[in-house]
Amino acid sequence: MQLRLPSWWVLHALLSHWLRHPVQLGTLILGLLAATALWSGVQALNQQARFSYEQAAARFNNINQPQIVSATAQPISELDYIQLRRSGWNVSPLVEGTLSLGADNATFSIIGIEPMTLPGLGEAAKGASGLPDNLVLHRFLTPPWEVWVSPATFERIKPMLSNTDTSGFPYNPQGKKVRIQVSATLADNELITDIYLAQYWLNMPGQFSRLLLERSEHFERSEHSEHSEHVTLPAEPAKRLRVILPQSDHDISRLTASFHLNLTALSLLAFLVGLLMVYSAIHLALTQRLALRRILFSCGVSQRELLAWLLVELLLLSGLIALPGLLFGYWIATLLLPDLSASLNGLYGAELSDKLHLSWRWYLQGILMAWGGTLLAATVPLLKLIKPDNGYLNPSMSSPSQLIQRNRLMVAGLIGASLALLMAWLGTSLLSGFLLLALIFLSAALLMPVILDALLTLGQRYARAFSPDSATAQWLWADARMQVPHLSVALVALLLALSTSIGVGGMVDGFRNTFTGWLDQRLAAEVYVRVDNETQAQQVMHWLSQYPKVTAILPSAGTEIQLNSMPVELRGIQIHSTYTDHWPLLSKTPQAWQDMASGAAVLINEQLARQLALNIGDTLPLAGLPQTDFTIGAIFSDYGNPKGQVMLSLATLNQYWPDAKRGSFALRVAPPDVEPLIRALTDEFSFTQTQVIDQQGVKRYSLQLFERTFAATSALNLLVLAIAAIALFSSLLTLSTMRLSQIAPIWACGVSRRQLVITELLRLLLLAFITALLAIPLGLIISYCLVAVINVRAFGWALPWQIFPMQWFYLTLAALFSALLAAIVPVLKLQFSSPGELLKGFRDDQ
Amino acid sequence: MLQVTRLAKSHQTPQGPLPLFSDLSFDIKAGESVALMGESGCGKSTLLHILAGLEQADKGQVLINNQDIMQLNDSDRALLRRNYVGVIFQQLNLIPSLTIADNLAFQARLAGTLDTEWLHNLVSTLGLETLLTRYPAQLSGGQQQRVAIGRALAARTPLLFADEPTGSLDEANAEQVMTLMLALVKETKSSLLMVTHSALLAARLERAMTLRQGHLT
Repeated sequence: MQLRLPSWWVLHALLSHWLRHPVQLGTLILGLLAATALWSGVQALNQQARFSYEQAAARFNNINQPQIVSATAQPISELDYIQLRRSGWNVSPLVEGTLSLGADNATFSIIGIEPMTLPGLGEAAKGASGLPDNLVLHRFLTPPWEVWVSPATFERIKPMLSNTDTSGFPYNPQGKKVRIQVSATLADNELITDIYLAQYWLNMPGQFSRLLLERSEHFERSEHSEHSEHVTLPAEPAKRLRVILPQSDHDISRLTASFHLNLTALSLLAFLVGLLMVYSAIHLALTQRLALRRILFSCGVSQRELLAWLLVELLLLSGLIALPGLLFGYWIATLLLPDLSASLNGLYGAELSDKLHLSWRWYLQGILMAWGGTLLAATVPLLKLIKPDNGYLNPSMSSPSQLIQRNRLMVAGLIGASLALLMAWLGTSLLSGFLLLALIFLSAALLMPVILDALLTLGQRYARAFSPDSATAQWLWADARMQVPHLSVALVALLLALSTSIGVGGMVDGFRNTFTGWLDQRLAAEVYVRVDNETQAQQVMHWLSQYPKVTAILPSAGTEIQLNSMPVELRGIQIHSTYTDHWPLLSKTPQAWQDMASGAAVLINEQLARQLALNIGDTLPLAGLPQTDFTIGAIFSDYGNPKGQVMLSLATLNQYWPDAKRGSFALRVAPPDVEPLIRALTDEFSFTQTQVIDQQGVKRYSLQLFERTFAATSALNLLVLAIAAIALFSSLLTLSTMRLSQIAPIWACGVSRRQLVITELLRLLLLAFITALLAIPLGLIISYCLVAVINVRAFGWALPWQIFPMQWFYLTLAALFSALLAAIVPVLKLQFSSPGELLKGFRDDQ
Repeated sequence: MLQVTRLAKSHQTPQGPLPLFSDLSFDIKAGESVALMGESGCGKSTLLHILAGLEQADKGQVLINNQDIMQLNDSDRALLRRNYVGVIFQQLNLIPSLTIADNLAFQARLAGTLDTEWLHNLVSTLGLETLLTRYPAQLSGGQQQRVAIGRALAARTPLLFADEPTGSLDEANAEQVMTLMLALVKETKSSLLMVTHSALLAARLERAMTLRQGHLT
């Protein structure tokens, strides 16, 4: 395609159209702005999450690497460290703790490192280990020492740097102020310093929290599983130390992939709804420029040249609109980040920085999406412009070309629906689940105008049969039919938005119902206590046995193993009516609890059952030893847990996994005694608020986490609905001038403008109502797919499918209200248009 | 049937009001057919629109069936139009969403005066039998104008206003449509006021008026 310089005037002529039709330009801007903003907003969140995961993975204290920890309640001693080093073990010590600083006792994690011994570390490998590139080792290791922080942490500690008390931070043991260095690669709320300084501030002289272990010849393949390995420590340190091998479940980016995929899918839907607006604006703009096309052809502009200039025009406009779209996207991401961060932290323990770090890729991706989306939306109108037919010039569902188009839509829609059925039947992956949803949406969008036309035809017939002499009633139905091709894009947008609301809303409300009931079952005990180590566990156990008001002490212990290369948590519980009466079992053998008590059976969560295709009565080989083959007695629901879990009796756990950590206690106590018990435990053991917690507190936290998890979903959902309403508004506004030639004959025949206004409103409400009615079954299908397909494939557990008729009622009202709002301006325009404007309807068709 | 007294109308322009006519008075008797002629832009169509209650005059009186349409609000003017006035424009007279059959019956249904036998007669006279299930977009210009005449006459309104009803048709079609219209107007005994540029057409009506520089001659 050649563009000659003088033909710039072609672009000028094309662009002048938008100046004469500001409403159309507004529609294009709004649609593209909304599409780009929502897409790039969610992508900003995903990119932020990826950035945080990569940052965490690159850190030297990343737990996804071999390490040695204390097997007792005491920290690791310097002697054990020295002995290991002398025995040829490449270990590097780490001191970790919490510093409470400032008047408000703000807490910061402090990590003391010994950079010379960090695994795989040399001066050159700093970046890869998570240490800042600009860290100078001799300055870091020598007085007055350095403390490295992230920019956000620096802002927080700034007021504390003027502290005059030289006995702690920011003063070293010599009473000199340490140097504060800032690096954007560090996580927030962390202070990184030399191990000596950390030991001083944490009062841990000669002690370490853990030792990072470099992979070496000490690593051996396990006899029991080809996928697992083990490490044998020298005899003497082995009495006090134990090795923790990497656990793949700490691969946060893998665990959270489904979560981000869900967000991406919703943002893609929002993008597509925005594109429907763009399509609508471009389609109308090209239709209205058919006369210009003829003039340009007659002036010697070739078809290819015209097409090229139209593409230039669209890319220019969409590029310009994409820039503010990116700004809005950034703003949306900023709004959603706190909730997303809280839910990712609560669900997966993933830490997200509270400040957005966006790379150039994000900006480029946003602009490319805007261009790609615009070109996609413009493809059909551009093809029609090149080969215009009568149907395009005079769209009406009744003209022969439109009948052909309607049949084509129906065939394409039915093919889409058939493919969706095939996908539902054959698909197994999460991606195929999203493809299934996409196909459902696509076929619904294609079939919707056809179904709408059929329903309106039916309505017209009934109107004719029941009120044969009512001219306005017949006109109302007939005209509604004629509006379908003009409004179908906006109505499809409304249909998609409403059905998504019904689908997602139904899933979230169903989950809320199930989750609340599940919490009641799962959290039957009144108080939960989490201890730090075995010594404390014994002390707590002893203390509780002396406390008369506790009616049952239910200790539990846990450890993690690999099963088919997947991390699985083993949890040992003391069998008690608290569990046998309440535990949320999905299916069980008649003797499940008894078999579990005898050590013959275990209970597994739904996630594990689905991952390994296990059912009750099947055998589960846990440690690869014959005596550790257990029968599956029951499968229990375990919402929100990303890992597989096996529950067995505490005695069985201790028998086969003696190093399992006794970590928590569930306590039964009468409700009035809960508060005094918590107070007494806190006073006795200096527990923090997160270590001893009452049942209500856990439920409150869980429900808060639930609400925050779906906050982003609900916000996106609402935005999609808003975009659909705007799409309807802009379509009506754009059509309002074209409507004059259709309305003028009615007015001339003696229908007052008031009646015309009422009929216009009724017609639109009728279309919105039918759209809302069609959205209900579609929403239910989507809801079913979400709970039975997407959720299972993304998170490994299913939800009972529930329906919420009141939600449909409110959404139908929302649809009618949106239609009413969308109609206000065009209807007021009609009401207050001068007779001269209406008479224009007899002179031309705009 | 129609009495016009001291009717005045001006157009608003950036330079101020531009008078189209300022003191028009005339009347049309029941069953009388009158041609309204004049140069382009002299205000013929505007006058017709005012008489049909589609546009407001600045001052004066227009009596239709002894009701002054100048004193009526939009709803009452609409009611008067549906019962007493049929209007035929040069083009775009039809309701695009309705079939030809529904278009023909539309105003009569609105007024509650649909006479099926008369409608069949009209359809037959206008040669529209094979077109009844079609939509306006599927008809030629001449066919559309025949339907417009049919619709205006189906309601049997005592007054008929036609604004260059054959202006967009070729000579042969124009002649055919005009002949049909005049014959049917005669049959319904309606009064007709027709705006036209054609002296030949005007000669076929009982009387002709010319609007020139704001005055009727």
